[in-house]
Amino acid sequence: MPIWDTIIIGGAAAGLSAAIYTCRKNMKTLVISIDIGGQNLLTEQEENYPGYIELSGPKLMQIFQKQAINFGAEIIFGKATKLEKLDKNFKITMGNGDEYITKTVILSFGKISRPLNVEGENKFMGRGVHTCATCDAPFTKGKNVAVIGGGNSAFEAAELLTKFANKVYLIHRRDEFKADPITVDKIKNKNKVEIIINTIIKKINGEKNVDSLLIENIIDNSTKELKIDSVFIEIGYILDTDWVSNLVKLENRQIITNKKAETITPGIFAAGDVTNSPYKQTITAAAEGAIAGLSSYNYLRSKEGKSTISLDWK
Amino acid sequence: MKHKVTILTSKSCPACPTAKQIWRKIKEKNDFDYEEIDVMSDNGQKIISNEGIMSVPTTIIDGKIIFTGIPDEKKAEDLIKE
Repeated sequence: MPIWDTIIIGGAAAGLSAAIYTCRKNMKTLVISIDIGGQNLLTEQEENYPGYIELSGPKLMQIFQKQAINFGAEIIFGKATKLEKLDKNFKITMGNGDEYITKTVILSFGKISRPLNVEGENKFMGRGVHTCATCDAPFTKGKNVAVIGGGNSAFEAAELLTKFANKVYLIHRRDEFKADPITVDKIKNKNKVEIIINTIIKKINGEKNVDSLLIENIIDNSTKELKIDSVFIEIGYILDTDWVSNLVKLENRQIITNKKAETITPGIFAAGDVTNSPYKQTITAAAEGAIAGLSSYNYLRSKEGKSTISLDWK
Repeated sequence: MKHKVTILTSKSCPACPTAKQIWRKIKEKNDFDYEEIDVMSDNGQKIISNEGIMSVPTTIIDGKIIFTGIPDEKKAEDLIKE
């Protein structure tokens, strides 16, 4: 089994920037990711990324990827599920059972959609349960659908769905919304939309595909079956950091790092949305990735008894 | 038997380019029939109606829906090698 100089988990701004920097230091670099772009895939225009006037998030990420590959990065698509510290190295195990050994690790995997954690959610994923309205709205033509959530993403999903669906229920567990008032008002005035407040989802029902939701009013505890064909879960995002909590320190699920992108375990670095950095921007993620890449290089140099680069402009 | 892989995508789907990239990468190393179909095309509409597909990207291998969402590269390649 080959030993990588670094394995980067996550293929978006932070991870791909880290790969560019580690590859330029001739480090044997593997990027493991479920996708290329992460949250940037949802950005229509990266208006605040310097150097580009008009460029979509996915296009910008394709450029990052091309740069990383041009410098020698290898990319594997899949989900890492276990990180272990060995004597000298680290072992990463994938969901499919594959294992990789590396001298350093850079964690830069960002966020995933927050699940509802109710019965039927996983069973019907892609068969009536959806997490991407932009992707799947065209499949709801003439159907009755529900959107779960009270933030901007839920209201934006509901608005998009009104262009296709026959009826859109927006279901929220509270009686007030996090979404901007202007967005809420826009949806409230749509004939196709019915807003159901103070209500939670107890179960997603169906045979082959979703056919109804079991919902509960949290004020009077009454339950009701709501006939729908699709449900879009738009309750925000979480950091999927449980699987690395044995080796890094977390704060609100975020990995605590210092200015050098170091975690509490020497050899493990973190960058981007997954860290406790206060700003979650493409440019800050890219910068943190570069720092993590250079820090991992310094770590290896130091381990080999070689001089490190602390001031690379000197 | 030569496998047949069909991936259904749409222009508005952020996850679709990655899914296509994975299959194109596997195709470079393996011999199988491969096609990418936009769900808004006539053929795409026919397939989603016949198969009851409600989400993209969806991968159909030898007539069966195998992956909904971005496929795991290793699992996908293993299936092609079977």
